[in-house]
Amino acid sequence: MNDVLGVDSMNEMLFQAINGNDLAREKMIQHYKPYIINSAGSIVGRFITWSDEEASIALLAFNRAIDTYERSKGRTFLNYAYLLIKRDLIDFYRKEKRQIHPPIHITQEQEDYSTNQLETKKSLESYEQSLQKHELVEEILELSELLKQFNISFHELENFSPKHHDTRETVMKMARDFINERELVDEFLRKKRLPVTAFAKQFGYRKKTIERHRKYLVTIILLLNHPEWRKLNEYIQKPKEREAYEKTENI
Amino acid sequence: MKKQKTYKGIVMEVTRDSIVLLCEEGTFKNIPRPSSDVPKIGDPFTYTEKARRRIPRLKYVSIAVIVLLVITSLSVLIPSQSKSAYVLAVDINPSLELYADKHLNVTEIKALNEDGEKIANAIEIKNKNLYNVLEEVLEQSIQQEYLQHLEQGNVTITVVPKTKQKESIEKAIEDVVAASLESHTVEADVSVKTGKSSVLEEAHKLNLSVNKYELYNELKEKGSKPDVETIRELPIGKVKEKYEPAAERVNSSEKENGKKQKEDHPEKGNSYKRSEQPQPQKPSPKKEKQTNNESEKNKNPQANKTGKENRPEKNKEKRGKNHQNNQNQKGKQGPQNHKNGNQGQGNGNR
Repeated sequence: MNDVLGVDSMNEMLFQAINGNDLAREKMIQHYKPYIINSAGSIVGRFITWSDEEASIALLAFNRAIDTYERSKGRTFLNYAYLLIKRDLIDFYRKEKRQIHPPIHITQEQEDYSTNQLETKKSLESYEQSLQKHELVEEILELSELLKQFNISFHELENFSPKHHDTRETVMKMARDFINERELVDEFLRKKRLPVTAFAKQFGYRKKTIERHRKYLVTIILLLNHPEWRKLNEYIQKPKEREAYEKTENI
Repeated sequence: MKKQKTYKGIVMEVTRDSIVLLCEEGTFKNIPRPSSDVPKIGDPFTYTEKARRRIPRLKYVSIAVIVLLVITSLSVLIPSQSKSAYVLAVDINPSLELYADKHLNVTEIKALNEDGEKIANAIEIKNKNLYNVLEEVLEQSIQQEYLQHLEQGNVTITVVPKTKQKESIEKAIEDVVAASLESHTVEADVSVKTGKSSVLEEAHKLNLSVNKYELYNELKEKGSKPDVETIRELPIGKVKEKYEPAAERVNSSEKENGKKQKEDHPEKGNSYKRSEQPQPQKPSPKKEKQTNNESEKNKNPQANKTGKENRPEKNKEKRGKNHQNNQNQKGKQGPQNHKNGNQGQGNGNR
């Protein structure tokens, strides 16, 4: 198993893949698979599965993106890969003379326009925006991969999410308590399991509460354990700050 | 009821059916994926739970169900009160009340005395028109010999419309009764009146038919002390015989005379029946007087009566009995009655 893939290590991986490291390339593709399939789907305007032809086209395009990516062009890799996937898919539809889904028409024009803009003006602002967005995407992809090791997938998390504000506060507090105990965290990361009993004993939380929100708690702990995922951490902490702010205001 | 909820968040995962959002509060939410859209991972996404559509739909359904329930329960519970648009009080001797809805379908037949029960038991009212039932009542009465060929019977009917009716059915009823009697060649004094539902209620308190209740009141006003039980079980004619002041009893004893005469001239009976129907083309000053009196109605029925009663006595006309009936009724009923009374008097005078 590879270590947790940070953005930096992903860049490293990309560099290795470009230089002919097939294992790195394989890992990269594995890592970006959700992104590839999701991009293909959003370009085509319908849900794409891995058994669809569009998926393999997108995969090939992504592979080609690894080969031809040049960092010096000032684009993020994801942005580049997305562009290639899009072009290939559009070409594919043209060749097939299939009935092109209306969304493609629209997005194609939009995209041409926006890429022209990007290329010609190289607007710093939009670049930063896309960079920020891709940071978020990278973070999500990494979280997704990490959660897989804990047997958690995103769609399960709704059931484990706290429904109530108070409960959410409790779970957040649990996560913060947990992350401060280095021993627990180490065991947690090593065994890929939440040491519920030890944790409950140590902090006096009810086991039932922990079990009820286990997977959500795991996710939050992982997020807190990766402060480099700035976007996501910002996101889960935002309402806390807002609440705190509201509280002070009320007082 | 749930409030409409908006979920703002970023797309974490897109599957065939749903989108997983990381909401702003840091919770995860699976929302249904719009069929035409595959949002990109990391995109901000706002989802408005279709509470507005879904729950209200439920709301409408539940409202509809409640309304249905109410309507059905109304149609089950209330009909006993409002289903009957008409109450027809029939007194031959059997006292009966026929309840009919506004389409004149008979919903209930209620016997008010023993004789009435016999009739009511002999009649099947299911899915029958008011007129048909009325015919059957008459038929049964004839079969059970409450109305006989040789005896001048007495058919008093009061129509009590429970709701405001556009058409009055009195005339139709009169026709039915007349036709039915004629076909059985039975002689009877027929009177059809319209009553008020308030009177009906009063009558029900004493367990009397409307007709008898009115008679009862009348007798009371005249000073005799009628017994409710007796009135209930005796035919109207007999009741009158029993309680009318002595002077009139003379009259009624002459009734037999009158009967004989009638047997001699059965056509007269017929003509009488016919004449019962309203004859507005023959307005007589007398009638007007009566209408005036009518408007005063119960206020001063005594005066009314005495004025008229004298006449038959004096004239000693054949149909004294008839007269009495009519007069008795006069106190309370509508214009048709007047015509009856009028007519009766006219006959007598003749």
